[in-house]
Amino acid sequence: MVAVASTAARAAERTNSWLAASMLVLIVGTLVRLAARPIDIAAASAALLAALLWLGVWLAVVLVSKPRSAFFIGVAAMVMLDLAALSPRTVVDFDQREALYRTDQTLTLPVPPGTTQLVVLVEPVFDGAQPRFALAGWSCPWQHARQYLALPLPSGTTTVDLRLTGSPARDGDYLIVYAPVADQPRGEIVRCS
Amino acid sequence: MLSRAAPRTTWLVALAALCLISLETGLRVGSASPDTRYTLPRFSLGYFWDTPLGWTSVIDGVPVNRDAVQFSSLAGFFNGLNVPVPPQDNVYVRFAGYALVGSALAPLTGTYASFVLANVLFWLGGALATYVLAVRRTGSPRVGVLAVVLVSTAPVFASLAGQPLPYVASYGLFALGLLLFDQVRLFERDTPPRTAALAGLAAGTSLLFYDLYMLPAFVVVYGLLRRTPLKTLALVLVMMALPRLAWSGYWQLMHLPSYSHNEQHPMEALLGWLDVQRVGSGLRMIGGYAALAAHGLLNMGAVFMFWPLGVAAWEFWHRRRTDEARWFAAVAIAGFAPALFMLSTWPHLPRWYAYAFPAVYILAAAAVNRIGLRAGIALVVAPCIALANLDVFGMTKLMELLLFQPADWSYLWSP
Repeated sequence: MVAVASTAARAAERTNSWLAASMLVLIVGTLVRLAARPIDIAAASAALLAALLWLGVWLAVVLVSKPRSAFFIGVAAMVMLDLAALSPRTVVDFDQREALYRTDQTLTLPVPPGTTQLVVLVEPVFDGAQPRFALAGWSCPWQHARQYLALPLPSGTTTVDLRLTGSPARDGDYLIVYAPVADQPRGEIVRCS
Repeated sequence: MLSRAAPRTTWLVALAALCLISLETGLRVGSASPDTRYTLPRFSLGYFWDTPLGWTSVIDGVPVNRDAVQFSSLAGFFNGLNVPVPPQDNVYVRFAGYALVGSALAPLTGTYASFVLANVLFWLGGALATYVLAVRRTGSPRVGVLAVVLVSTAPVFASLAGQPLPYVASYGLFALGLLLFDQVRLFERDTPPRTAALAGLAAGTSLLFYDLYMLPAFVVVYGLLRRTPLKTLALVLVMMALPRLAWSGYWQLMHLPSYSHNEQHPMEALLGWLDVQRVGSGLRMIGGYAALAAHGLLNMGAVFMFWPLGVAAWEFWHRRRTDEARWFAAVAIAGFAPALFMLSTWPHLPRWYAYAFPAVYILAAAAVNRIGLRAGIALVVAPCIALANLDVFGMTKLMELLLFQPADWSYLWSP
């Protein structure tokens, strides 16, 4: 009887140790996440959300398995959630795009102060050698691919209105304009005149 | 042990499922993703957005459904980045759990690839949960394996796996939630309140990924069918709501901006059912409701590409007097009912009906067992896989019908 009670007590102690260790993972992991970058409302929100998600995963494992398994799953989950705190790998230098496919459309772009040209990333879509559209105000050499265009500007220009002339069409003759996330173009720049 | 099948078999099943899911996903990533392609002008939904880019945008240079940018933007917001859709314009703040988990690998792979990898893992989780549930409900590992094959090639998963959207994750979480409830014996009369409460809390985390009302619906329907004590059901439901309440409450308390317009959709749907301008009045009301019911049936069929649903219904008829019939019925009701509720205002999104998949695919797999393996594979499994992959060979109408219901039905027979 004493031996059974002692075994049960030891098992309970081990269980409690794993549960306590798991809580330590939650606390340390959350602190690591907060330390990964300056603490602001976005970082705090992400830390709270990560803690909620972690608790859900950990609880589910505790319910269907042993506290020891829950601890190790909890460590793996926290590593993943902390990894999400790091900056994402930048694959391309744009994150938005818009299509110009009518002549009555205008796309207004800001011009950095003190510059005399605007570099834009575009992708003309057309069949044949040349598109049926042109960029109002500039003459550009078009390729069948994404390309950086340098548009010369008078000094003091603060915004540029991009507009098409000619006969663009929705189904096959249009210009996609990408909004950059990086200041420096990552490719050859073609100069328009 | 989660599964009564041998561990080696379980690993092999997991590996096979991963291969199938990776293949189905690989065929439909980026611009090949149906949920991106079919919003372009030349497809059924092209009429909706009169631009060459349809309802698309880009993440990491990859064309995606424009809604996906909301989730990549939420992920970017958590990292302190300038994002295309800031929280004040973001309608999906309540689903931030998906944004955070989906972007977890972004520092290594980039944002788009991270979301797709997360989708693959949730799809795998859903397939394996279905496997375990199938073995338990039918006592046959063969049915489990066949159910995994059907889930791993399910067209609704394939059509959305290449999108940073929470549908695939929510399908997987629904099946995992069912497995959790099964594992802790939630609906037995002797289940301790503490276990029920913790299971509810854990399952409630899924509501940070999507409006997964299908899980609470399952608790209510199956609980009532099993005559589970009402106190237990109430406890589970309250605990299930806590994670979402905590997150939304925090957002409100901190006065963080969000664009909560589409949180009103359930209320709009309720009012829609009573709106005489929508459903008609007098005898026309009967016709209006009948048309909605027919549209609901069409959605249920379209999301499974019809054939497996018919086979599952046939198998269910054979099993209608068994104990398991209540579980299958509860999963089907919980999987379909929330979407049917939204039918009055949102009739054109069959993807909302996919949550019945564990019941449908387990029953379809059990039908294979009933009619014999060879005949079953020829009559059930092979047609299901063929239908699900017609889009890869350029025959896109069925997949289009699965994703969006058109305003003009003539598109179905137009070239």
